Order: sequence, then structure tokens, then C-alpha cells
Amino acid sequence: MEKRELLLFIKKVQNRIFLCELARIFLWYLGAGFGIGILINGVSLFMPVYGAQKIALGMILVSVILGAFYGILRFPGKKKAARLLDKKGLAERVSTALEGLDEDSAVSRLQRKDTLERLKDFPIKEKFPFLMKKDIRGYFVLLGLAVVFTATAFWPSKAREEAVRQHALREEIKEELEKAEELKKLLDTEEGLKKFLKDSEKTELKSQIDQSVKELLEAGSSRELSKAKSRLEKKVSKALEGAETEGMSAKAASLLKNYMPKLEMAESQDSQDGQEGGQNGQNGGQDSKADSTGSENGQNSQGNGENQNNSGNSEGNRNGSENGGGSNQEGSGNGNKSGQNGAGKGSGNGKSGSGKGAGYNYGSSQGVEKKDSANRGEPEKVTIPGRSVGKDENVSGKGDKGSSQYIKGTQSDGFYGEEVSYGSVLGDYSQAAYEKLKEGNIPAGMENVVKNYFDGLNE
Amino acid sequence: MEEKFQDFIEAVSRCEKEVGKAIVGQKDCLRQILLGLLIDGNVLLESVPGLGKTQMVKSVAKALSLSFSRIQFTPDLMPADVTGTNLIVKEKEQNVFRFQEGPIFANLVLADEINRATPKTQAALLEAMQEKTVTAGGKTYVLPEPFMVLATQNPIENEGTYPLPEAQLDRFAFKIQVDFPNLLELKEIMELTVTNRRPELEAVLTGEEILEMRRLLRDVPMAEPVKEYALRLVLATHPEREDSPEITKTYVANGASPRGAQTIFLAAKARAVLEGRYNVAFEDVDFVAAPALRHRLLPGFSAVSEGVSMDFVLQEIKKELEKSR
Repeated sequence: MEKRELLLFIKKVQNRIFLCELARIFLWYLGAGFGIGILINGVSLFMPVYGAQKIALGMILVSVILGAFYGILRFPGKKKAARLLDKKGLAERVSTALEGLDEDSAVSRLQRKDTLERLKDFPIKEKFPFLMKKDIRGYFVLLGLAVVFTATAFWPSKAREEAVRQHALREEIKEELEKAEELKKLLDTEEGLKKFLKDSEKTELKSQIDQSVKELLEAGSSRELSKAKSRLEKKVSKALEGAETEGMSAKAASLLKNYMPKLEMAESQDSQDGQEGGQNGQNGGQDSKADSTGSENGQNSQGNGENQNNSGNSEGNRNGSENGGGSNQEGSGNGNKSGQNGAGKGSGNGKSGSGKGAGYNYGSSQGVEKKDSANRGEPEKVTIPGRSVGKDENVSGKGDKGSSQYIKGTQSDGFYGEEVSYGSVLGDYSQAAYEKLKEGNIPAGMENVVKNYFDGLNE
Repeated sequence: MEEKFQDFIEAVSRCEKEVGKAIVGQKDCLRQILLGLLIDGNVLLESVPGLGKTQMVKSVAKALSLSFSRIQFTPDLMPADVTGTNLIVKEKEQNVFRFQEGPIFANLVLADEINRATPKTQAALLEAMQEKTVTAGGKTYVLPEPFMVLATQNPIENEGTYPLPEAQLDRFAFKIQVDFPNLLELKEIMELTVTNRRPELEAVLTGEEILEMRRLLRDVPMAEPVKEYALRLVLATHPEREDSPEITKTYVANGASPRGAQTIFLAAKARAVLEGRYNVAFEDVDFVAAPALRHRLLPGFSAVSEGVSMDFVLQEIKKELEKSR
């Protein structure tokens, strides 16, 4: 009986000590985690470290897990619990009783009885508190660390912006390198290309690609990356001038299209059809019988792909709508080459899409994905006239007929317009501006003004 | 059993109270003397003259119903003067040798100023202190039980004294330092000694009771950590050991013997019971460690030259060991 009582009490104390210890270890490790986190955050304020906050949070999490693990390992044994109990004024009674648990001498029984009597009113919670007074300074330090951590985590700095920029650049470079590698493989494996390239030309192109890969790797800014990309595109376009996708695998065609937007696509008709629907919207409240022909619109579609970042909006089915007028006319069309127009990477994302979109100008069969990207964040939709014309008059409200525009097709008159996201428009115009900057069409003194203007719009 | 322990505690408490009538203060000192008695040990009291060492021993003897004898140790004291000798006596018209018991044949023997006697005479006490026997004329005589030697010595008057050899010192369970009384105590001492007030002491503890207590004490349990602590304390006094504290290596020439450990164990048990416990605590060990070990440590050259006492060394060792207990 005495034995059971004693063991039960010790068990209680064991659990209590374990919880107290766990709490203390947890807090200490949390403190250590905060310390490391602050260090990482602090470094990221002055040096570009991408995802520093996430790393810091991760370190805290790791610290806490380690602490919990260590705490579990430190579950006190009976003897330890007895000794800790003894230290609370029990003068080694519990340790002695525990050791002499199986002793049956008169003195041992007396000793156990005495111990149990002492334990009867022993205030476990009071003697083993979760928060110890002696640690109070530590708790304040912990609180301070938490505050400093939060502050350093959200403190804006140029280094942080730079880290994000560098990361995006690295990702883009990585993507381009993969494409370049795929292209190299394609030159060897794709049967459809063999008729366009002799062996010597192939070798030459490969070495040019290798050279471009080096340039891509050395690119330290998006500008350098764009230049490297342009050079590679030019090299590929030049080498494969006149090539057709006919006889090529879809993958190869798609890849080549990345580098050669003007590449003749075997399924171009489908694309035109798809575009047709997108062009049938009506603008400005005027009815328009958009009887766009496949060929014309197809051409327009292609134009879009070349010159505009069309943000993947020309999906197979499209509804053109207009709120300004009395009647709405739906236009629809089917197409499976939507990718031609949809390659604009960041078209829907405003900031990142503008000027940096990897698919700028080239479109790809992955355009649909870009559309998805555009839908993120529910960007504002605007209806714009067809931009294939590429003139300012196309901009809504600039024309002498209000915000609408008519495109004359061979089969029908149809309003050539589309509904795209605001971000897409912004991206396209920004991209066009950056392109002009690259081409050197803007006076040197104004380059920064233009760049800052569009950067500002994108922020 | 519980009653026995309770009676024991009460008896010792009464004894302390009785002695307290004649001795002012010196509570720890008195407790240590009684502990020495309870663990079947001998006690060496050391202090400057006039602090009541002899008076304390006499008072203890009065409070116990035990036979008491006092031997004033002087340089010309012979061993036979202590142990006794064979004398020729006439018995039935015949001269025969008869052993005449010396003053050592008593329950409590006060060896006053023990260091004034020659080593030969001091050595006469060795057998009595350790074996509780006296050998004279080829015959061994058993001393009465309980037997205890309470010796006193003066640490400052070294001229004409014979410092006790290590072997002799080791036979003392405790070496008790009698401290100088404080103002209040001194005032009370004056009240007692310079007036006609003569406290009457009553014998409250018999020899049988003491022997019974000694048996009881040995059964008191001691937890492993406490045992280890006591033993590590003894081991830490040995400068030759690698893990000994630096202070030991610097100031101690020779460490305590296993007899020191025995004394600590027994005395700690006795102290635990007197404190109302049935188990030994660390504090019991701490209480008895200094009186049990201080005379067993041989000070090194540095200790002597720097005036470092063995009490200080023991205190530092305890501090060191407390961290790990």
C-alpha cells in the first residue's frame, strides 16, 4: 500500500517535472530559434538572401522541434524525480524510501511512513511551477527577441528587393538554359530538322547555342538576360530560316516556336479559327457584324503573337462583350493553337509580366497556363481594340469613333477587339516600352524616365 | 519501534537541556559530543583555555548516569597511571599480583590536556580507544560499556607539549572546536559562574539506553546519493587522487582514512534521528563532516605557511561537491 502510494506520487511528480522541463526547454529553444532567425533576417537586410524570412521561420521551427525532442529525451526517471522532490525540503526522504521500497525492516517501514506523511500535503504545482520566478528575465528576453524578430522580418530593404530580383533572374536563366539544352538535343534527334540543317550547320548552331548558354549564365541582370536571349533567338532564327514544323514532333515544334515565332505552323488554320472568336466582340455600343474570315483573322492572330504579349487570352472559345452599347454581340470561334498568342508569361500579373515575360513576343502552346496565371488575383478586365494594327489609334478612346474600332474583314465586318486583363495591357505596353529601350529608339537621356514610368506603373 | 525512536530523541533532548543548564551556548559542540557518544566514538575538544571544555565534559557526565573519571595529562604521567597496574597484594596470607584498574576504567574518561603527556602515555590510550580493552601484565581487561574518551587540548601553548600522532588522532571520532561565546552567552556565563547560582544537573540517560540507541542507529537507511556524497567527500581530501579539488592538492599532505568515512556515516545517522528523521540527508553529512575529518587531514607545507586551516579546505571541498550532488 505504502509502496503503491509512494510510486504513484513519484509518477505524478515525474509528469509534472517533465512538463515543466519541456516548457522551459521549449522556451529556451524558441529563444535560440529567434536568435538565429534575427541573425538571418539581419543579414538579409544588408545582403540579398532570397526567402530569408522563410529560412528564419524554418530555423525557429527546427529549434522548437529539437527542443521538444530534447525535452522528451529528458523525461525524468523515478530516482531523478525523487531527488528533485528531496531538494524541495524533504531531506532525502523520498530517495531513501524509493531505494528501500522492498526493505521490510522496522526502520524502513517507519521511514516510508514518515515520507508518505510528508508527501500528503506536498504542493506539487507550487513547488514545480511552469514559469519560475528566477527565469522571469529570460521570459522578457524571449519577448524582446520575438519583437526584434518580427521587426527584422518585415523591415523593408534594398537588399531584400535585390534578393527577389536575383531569384527571379536565376529562375528565368534556369528556364532558358533548359530550353537551350532541349534545343541542342532536338538538333540531334529531330528528324524534321535534318532537311533544314547540314551537319556542319548543326555543329555551328550547337556551338552558338553553347556560346549563348555561357552568356545566359553570365547574365547579371534581366537586361543582360534579354540581350542574351535575343542573340540566341537571332542565331536560331538565322540558322533555321525557312524551316517548317511539318514533319516535326509537337514538342519540337513548340520548342522551336519559342525561338522562331515566325515559324510556319502546320496547324495554323486552327489558330486562325480560334482567333476569329476573340475578334468578334463589339465595342462602343455599335453593332458589328463581324464576319471575320479565317485567313484574315488568322493573320491577325499571328501578328499578335509576334508583336504583342497577348497573355494567353485567345483561347478556343471566347466571348467578346461590351457594356457601353445597347446590344452585345457574341463572337466565338474554335481553335487549338491558342498558345501562339498566349505565351506572354506575366501578362496577367502586371508587375512581373511586364518587360520580363519569358514568352514575350513568341507565344507557345503553353499559353493556356499563362491564362491561368492571369486569372490569379482576379485582375481588372478591360476591353481593348485589336492590337495587331499596332497603332495608337487602337487604344480605346483614341479613335475618332470613341473607343471602338472596326476592322474590315473579307467576309464580314467585325469589330476587332478582345477583353483582356488590365495587367496584360499594362504588361504589353511596358514590354513594348522596354523593347524600344533595348533597341535604342529612345534617346539616352530619356531612357531612365521611360523605364521609371513603367516601373512605377508596375509597382 | 517508532516509540523507541521517539524515546531516544526525547532522551537526547533532555540530556542537552540538562547540560544546557551548566553550559551556556555551545549547542553544536554539545550535540557533537553526544553524537560521539551515540556512535561509540571518542571526542577531542580543542580550544584556547577557559572556554569551558572541561566543564562541558563534566556536565555531560553528570547528565548521564555513567561512571566518570578525569585524568590530568602531564609530562610525567605514566601509562600505568592511566591504564592501571599489577600490584602485589596480600591475599590469604599470600602475596599475589592483583590488577589495580586505572582511571581509564570508567564509562566516560576525561583526558584533560592530553597533549601534555608523553607519546608513551598517549599511546596507552590507543588500545582503550579503539579496542575498548586494556592489556596489562599479559592480560587483557575489557573496559565498561559504553566507553568514551573525551580529551581536551590547547592549540596555542605548544611548549612542553607532545602533539598527538596521526594514529592517535584518527581514533578520535570528532575533533570539536569550542568557539568563543558571544556577548549574550558571555553574560549568561557570568551569571552562572560568579554568583551563588549552582545548577543542579539530573542524570537523564543510562548506559543501557545509550547502548540501545547505538544499535538502533545502525539500521537507519541512507540513500545511495547521500552515501556517495559522503564517500566522495572523504576521497576529495586525498591530494594524490587526480580528480581531487585543486585546494586539496595545494594544502593537504595526507587525506582522511576510511575511519573518517565510518564516522561520517554513523554520525550522520545519529544526527538524522536526533533531527526527527529516519533517513540520512545531505545536511547531516555536512553537519558531521568537519568535526569528523578536520583532524584526519594532514596539512601540507602551503597550508602551514599560509595559515590555511583544514576547516577552510573542507568547506571548499564541500562547495565543490555540492554542485554535483
